[in-house]
Amino acid sequence: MTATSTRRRTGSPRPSRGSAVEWLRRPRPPLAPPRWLTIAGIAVGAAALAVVPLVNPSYINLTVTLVMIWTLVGLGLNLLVGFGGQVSLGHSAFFAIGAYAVAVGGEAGIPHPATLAIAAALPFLVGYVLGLPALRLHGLQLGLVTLAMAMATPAAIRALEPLTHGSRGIAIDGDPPAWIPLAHDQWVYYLALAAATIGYVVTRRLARGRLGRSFVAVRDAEIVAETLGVDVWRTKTRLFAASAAYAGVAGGLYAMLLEFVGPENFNLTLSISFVTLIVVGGLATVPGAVLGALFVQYVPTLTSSISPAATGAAYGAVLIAFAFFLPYGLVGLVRAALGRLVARLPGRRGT
Amino acid sequence: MDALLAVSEVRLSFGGLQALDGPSLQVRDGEVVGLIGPNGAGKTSLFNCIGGLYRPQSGSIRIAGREVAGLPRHRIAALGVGRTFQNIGLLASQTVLANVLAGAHHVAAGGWWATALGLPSVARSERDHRERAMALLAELDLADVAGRMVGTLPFGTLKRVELARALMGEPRLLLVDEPANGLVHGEVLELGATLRRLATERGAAILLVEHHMGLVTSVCDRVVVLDFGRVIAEGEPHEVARDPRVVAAYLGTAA
Repeated sequence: MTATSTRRRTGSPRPSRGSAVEWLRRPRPPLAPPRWLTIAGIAVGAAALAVVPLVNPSYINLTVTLVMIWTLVGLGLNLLVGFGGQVSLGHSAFFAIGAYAVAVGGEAGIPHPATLAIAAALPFLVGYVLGLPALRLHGLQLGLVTLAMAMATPAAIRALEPLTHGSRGIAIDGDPPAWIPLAHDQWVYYLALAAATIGYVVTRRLARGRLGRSFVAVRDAEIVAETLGVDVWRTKTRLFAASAAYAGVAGGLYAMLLEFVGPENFNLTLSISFVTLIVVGGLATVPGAVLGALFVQYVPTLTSSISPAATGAAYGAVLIAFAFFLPYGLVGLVRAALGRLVARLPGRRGT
Repeated sequence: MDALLAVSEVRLSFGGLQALDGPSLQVRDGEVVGLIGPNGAGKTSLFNCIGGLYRPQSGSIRIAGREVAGLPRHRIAALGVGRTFQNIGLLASQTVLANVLAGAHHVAAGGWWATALGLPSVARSERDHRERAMALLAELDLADVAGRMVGTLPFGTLKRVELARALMGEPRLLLVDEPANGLVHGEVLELGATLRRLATERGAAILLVEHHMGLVTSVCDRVVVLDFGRVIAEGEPHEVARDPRVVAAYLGTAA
């Protein structure tokens, strides 16, 4: 009933048998652009990203850096949730560990790149150890355990007062070493760009091929995965630890960017925005992390001009809308919109 | 003696139900063995014990000399065991090609670090297995559905996709659970020919659970009949089909 009336109203954009909703909800293969377009796109994108901090005021560099930080979180979380099918509402905890690794490391006089390495390693280890019991649980229960992690994070930071200085927080010197002629915002921008680029390339490699297929098998059918020789248990714990490492590095960069960390930076809302990010961008897609990061960075800015409470409402509404109409996120929408166009471009691979 | 698969006196019960009551059987390299019996005879239970999905309470199952009982499930594929599922165990969200490639998991290269670093060995392995997968799909007459999502294809096609996936792992022992289920007559004959060819060309042993007697008699070298979890007959297909115990098991005995 509803389906037919929707079709009549929208006048069916193409001769499909289903309604517009069905058309939107349809799974689609990734766009396979011709090689020349990919190379040109990467070249233009890289040049633009390299120039941005040199020609813009620092507040713009700040927001673009934040987009890259969210992208990094989204890449890791999507490996775990989108590809591996293991829900986590608790990645703000790993983000916090990374941020405090940089803050505490900075106080101890360790240089930035080294503290960032710690910001990757420490959440990786914590994620691995927490994952050992937590990943025995499935679906809702795993969601609840990780939710508890997110809720406990600010309290845990306050409780670790000798290390974290509790509610007072820690001020961080985010300036580059003296021999690098960059301002603070430019320095953190380039660090974030490097981290996000490496993260993107690594995620793409993991998500495709043998390992990517094993993640999807674990998500869709554990017994089948085991029959194929996939060590389901090891796959889950490694995914959890790896995604924690992504969040940790992002948290470390966040601390350097803001030059301050305090317990209130890492509340439950942060975790919810991470989940919103991957759902909006597109579960189980790599480019989705970028689109989702743009969403969580810029939409709250727009909504807060209406009311500070509007952000939560917007996230809620958007999550519902995506669950119903765009289960494959913005990437799904891009595929739907550009699929036919890209397929017609000359020089496509495999044709 | 040197059987590829040696099942010996396996017992499995679910609560009070004795699903397997000590059957023994052997499969040699390159042999096609049919496992038949009425519904509830324990065929799929025995299959799942061999594949590691169930752990029998007693008895032994050895594949190429290795005891299977107690081995983690994901280690069994590496012993050279491939299987298909009665109700299709494909990943519906993926393409046919991706599903078939997933069958190469334990023979393909590419651990976490090697993949993250993009080592050439990983790319080479991926390319080789992609070629193998396409060749297999062509062999099983599936080449033109390679890019299709599994969820959109008919049951009979999916049975063949599953077979292709099991073959990607280069099994020495192929466990095939009711392949003719849901196929029309012509497809059954074709499937029989395919299975026979796989056994001769690849030297793979096949253990086949099947209801379709026509397929069993045309394909199998030997047939094992289960009833109430026990082996009640074993031998060449035509002999077994005439065995009074088998007839009684299928049709019921006069009281």
